[in-house]
Order: sequence, then structure tokens, then C-alpha cells
Amino acid sequence: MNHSETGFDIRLTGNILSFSGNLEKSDYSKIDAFLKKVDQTLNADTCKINLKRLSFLNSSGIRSIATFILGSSKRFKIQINNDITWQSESIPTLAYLRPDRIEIMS
Amino acid sequence: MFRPCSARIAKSKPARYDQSGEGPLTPCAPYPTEEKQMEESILLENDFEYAFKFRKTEKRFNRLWGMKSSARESLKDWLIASDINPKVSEVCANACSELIENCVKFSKNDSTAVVSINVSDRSITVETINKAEKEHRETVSREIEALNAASDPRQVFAEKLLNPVEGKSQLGIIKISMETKGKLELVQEPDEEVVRMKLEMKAE
Repeated sequence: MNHSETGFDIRLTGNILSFSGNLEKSDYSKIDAFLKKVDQTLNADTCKINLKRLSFLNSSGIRSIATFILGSSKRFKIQINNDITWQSESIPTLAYLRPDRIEIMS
Repeated sequence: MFRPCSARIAKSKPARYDQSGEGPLTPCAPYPTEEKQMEESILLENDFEYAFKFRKTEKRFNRLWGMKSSARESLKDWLIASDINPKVSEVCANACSELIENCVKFSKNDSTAVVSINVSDRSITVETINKAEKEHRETVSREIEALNAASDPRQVFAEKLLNPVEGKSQLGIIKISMETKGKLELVQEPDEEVVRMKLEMKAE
């Protein structure tokens, strides 16, 4: 199961949701719909989100991923690349919101 | 022979908003003579200025949106070529990308937006000037006030994540603050529709 457009790819393999490329859309409605479908499709209790190959994510993209995570009852393990500043600075904030359900892994 | 640093800083002039779209981006100084260039070569070796402007129209929206990534990559490469640390260059380029995004998204149709990046001494200044609805400027003003009032920008970021507004990210300014550790300012302009954003961050 994947959603691919010019510049980026989002792919669900098992319980791992991997993002790659540059994700900087002006309208995230298609991404939001895809992530909602992922949440409905995935049977596992835990979803691993791998952002390591995502070079750039704009603020609307952070909002889209946060909406997906906060709206789900699953546990999330988010893999980040500490060498990419936006990942090390912005993404860990998500874990403050749901420390019992969101774990940041580098 | 060496002028004090303050003189160099004073030389850097902010981008000028030019609604007509006809004028220069920044006031132009005469091109230095060869002798003058040699004299200033050491003083200017780390200085850098990059500026562009565009007219936003409804028809151009997608193409302008696509130019954001080109501008970001180009700016990062220019900063690295100007001896700015690659990590700082990336952070600055990403912040600039968010500010350009706001210009493309919120500028009034058929108005001109100006983007300028100056490196001087040990700081980088990014300035964007565009014309938007008055409500947008008020929203930006409130976001910056909330950011300045908070002891930690992550608090504001978390609050915004928990209280989404339909169709709006409202995270851009906070994301810039968290990632650059710089100072964001909404520069006051007499025209209530002109949004002049200024980001100052360390160049090292």
C-alpha cells in the first residue's frame, strides 16, 4: 500500500510506514485520506513511522502526520534522522503530547 | 584599511517592498572598481546577499509553489559556497522555504512578494515582504506574540498541534523558531496589508 507523487513516496510495509523524498504540498487532503486508510487497514497495535529518508517536510506536512498520529488509538514508534535538523527539533515534540503512546527513536 | 564591523552591517540594506514590481530589490551600489574590490576582498569574503521577487497570480500558484524547493536548494548551496556551515545553511534554507511558502500562499493576487537573504558578519537575516489580507497580518502578529511570551517554543508548538484550525497549519512560524533558534519579527509597516517578516539567526 503506497501513495506516491512527484518528489515523495509514502509506503506501508507490514506495520512500517516509510516516508521518503521532499513532502511539501499546499493541500494535504489526499495524504490525510491515505493516512486515514492506513490507520483503518493496519491491524497491528503498533505502527512504526520511518522518517529517516524524508529530506524535507513543511509545517503543513507536520500537521498532517500529527493529525494521523493523534487521531489513532495505536502506539507509534517514530524513527528520525538526528542529522536532519527539522526531524531532531520538531518531531520529538509529538512525543510530549502522548508520551505513553508515542516513542521517538533515532 | 579595515573598517569596523558595524560599518559592514550598516551597508546591508533590507529588501524594499515595491508594489509596482518595476524597481530594484535592494538599493544598488555602484559596481566596485578593481582596486576597490581588492581593497575589500578580505572584508567581503563572507558577505552574501541573495534576493528575488515574484508576482503572485492565481494562474501561477502551482508553478510558484514548485519554485520553493528550487529556491531552498539553491539558497543552501549558495550559503555553503559562502563558507556557512552546511548544517546552518540547511536550517536557514528550510526556514526561508517556510517564509516563501507563506508569501505564495497568502499574498494577494497580482501583488509582488520580495525575498532577501543577507549574510553579514556572524548573522543571517532573511526578510520577506508581501501584501496580504489584514487578517493574515494580525494572525502572524498574534503567533509571534505567543512565541515571544512562551519560555519554550515547543510549548506553543504542542498547543497548536492539540488545537488545530481547519485548513490551516499554524505551525510554520513556530517551526522556524524551533529549528533556527533565531529571532522572528513582524516589522511594522504603515500599510496594514503589508506583511514584512524578518528572521535573524546566527551564521555559525
